[in-house]
Amino acid sequence: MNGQLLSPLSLAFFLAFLLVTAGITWFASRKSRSTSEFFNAGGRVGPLQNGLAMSGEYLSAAALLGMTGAISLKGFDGIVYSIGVFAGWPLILFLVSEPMKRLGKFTLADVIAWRLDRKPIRIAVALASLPIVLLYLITQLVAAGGLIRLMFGLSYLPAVSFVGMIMLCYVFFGGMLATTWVQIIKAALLFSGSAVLVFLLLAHFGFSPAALFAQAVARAGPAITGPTVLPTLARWDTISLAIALVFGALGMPQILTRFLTVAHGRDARRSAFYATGLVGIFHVFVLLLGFGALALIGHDDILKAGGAGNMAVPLLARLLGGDAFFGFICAVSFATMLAVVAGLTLAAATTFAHDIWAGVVKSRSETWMDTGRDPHTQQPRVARTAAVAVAIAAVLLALRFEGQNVAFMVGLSYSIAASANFPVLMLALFWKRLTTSGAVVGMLSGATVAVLMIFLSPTIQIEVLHKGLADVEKQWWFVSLRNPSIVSVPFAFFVSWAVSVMRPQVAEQHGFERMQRVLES
Amino acid sequence: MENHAALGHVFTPSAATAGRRRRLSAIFTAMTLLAVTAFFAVFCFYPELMSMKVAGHMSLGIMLEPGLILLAIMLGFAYIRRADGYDLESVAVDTETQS
Repeated sequence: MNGQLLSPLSLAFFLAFLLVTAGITWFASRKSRSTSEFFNAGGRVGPLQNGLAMSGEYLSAAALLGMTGAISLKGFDGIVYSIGVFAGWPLILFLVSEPMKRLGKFTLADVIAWRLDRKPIRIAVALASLPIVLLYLITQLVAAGGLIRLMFGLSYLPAVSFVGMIMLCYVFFGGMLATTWVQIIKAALLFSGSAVLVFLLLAHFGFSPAALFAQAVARAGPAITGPTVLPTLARWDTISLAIALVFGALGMPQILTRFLTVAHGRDARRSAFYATGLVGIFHVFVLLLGFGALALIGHDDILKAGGAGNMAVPLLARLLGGDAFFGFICAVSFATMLAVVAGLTLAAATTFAHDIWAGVVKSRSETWMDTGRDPHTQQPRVARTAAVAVAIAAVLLALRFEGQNVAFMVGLSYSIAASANFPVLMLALFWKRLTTSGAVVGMLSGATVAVLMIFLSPTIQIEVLHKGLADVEKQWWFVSLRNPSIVSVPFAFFVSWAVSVMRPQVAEQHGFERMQRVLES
Repeated sequence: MENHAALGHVFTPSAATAGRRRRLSAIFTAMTLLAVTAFFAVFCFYPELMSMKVAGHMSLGIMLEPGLILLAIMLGFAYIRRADGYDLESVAVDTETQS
């Protein structure tokens, strides 16, 4: 299949996207002179724009191609991921949208550290956040390399290097403003492309979803519209996966920092609502497209196209819309990957420049939060340097992981976000007695338990290290669960609670009251 | 004061308003978590219920996905309406106190 899908129309659409985004980056580079402009677009992004950018940040190629592919191959069982990741969005709206805006400046650590000792919190948040972002980034690059090879016929090394170079240009020259507009354009293209495809699909079935599902059932059997009966362990594994997906979204730095780009709390609420609506509608599209591909193309032909079901949407686009539409969908998929990796690179660079370099290495006893002005005007320069380092490291790691199953990295990324950032963020916002020691120990222990459990699980031991099940399942250290969150999330809550209760800090409790006044103002 | 301007106005809400905002957030979070927990509990422990046909070849499980999404969007809409309402009430109280 390699290269067979190459089309001049795909290239034309993709080049148009590159040209438009290059223009935006040039424009943004002239605007992003101050620290605030570089890191949060000066807080001037509108709620609808930010909602689009947030949904763009979340909707990776994995969402369009991967989830649709999973539904087209597994039927109803593929929906679990879709519901899990969507459910985090209303919770972001209700729990963290306003506090993030009211307490944060550039990063997630600003919010958690607001009333606690800033240095250790910044180090702990960076130690947890950088792996989350890097793991996600590597997964996206590996997937991008594979898909570009499938769609455009480029070999892996130039494909990954090209994506790495473009994402670096967006971040290096344009900062948050360029990245935001790249996300907005990509989200608009993704939604319009998917909407047209759904329209064509429904038109094919006389606008009757029942007829669509009837054909899917006729092709794959009635069991395809219901869940598979799971054995006991798999049931708990699914619940554990759901915990990671639902709560992981509330700990993802690249999503949460988007609330810092709007003007005030009300806009933060609205952008979270728009993002919830857009992501929700997109998941309905995914459901229809997955079953539509199953009905019209069939399980075997989707598998034959390669990419473990990832080609279901492009094949459906070619069938219903011809070569021009197929080219458009391929270009949108590529643009999607570029935009997501740019957002991730910016999040990693900001964490390094603001939390580690300015907050720890160059911090003074009196920080900008106390004086009301930022003494570290070099932060954008440091962030640009960090972005180069992150891009090089991510491309090199993506080359190292070529052809390997890196799906576990997304799970790991969500598990660390759910186990490290989410519990401490919730306790920092809603529990008066949380202390600095409780937050640091809770965050690091949650991340450690999540990583350790995944390393000892069948995901790594059998699928990555290729050990025999019979050999490892007898070992005392073997963890049968593939997803650690059912253990690691409560564990992080418990550790934070226990450490905070054992060594209470009255001053930090007073800080909680001050924080409440800021949140309510 | 126009609603739009009022919502951008800096004010100090009363303790009662602040308490209501916290309760609002807690109630909507609990409703969302309840719906998601119910979905995954049925998915894992009562899969036959989700396989039940409700319209033609469409199962209850398939109807539940857009249903849950619609519920979340409606909850989100209700939430921002209420939160905006509380902001406006706080501005009114604040303006009254200052005058």
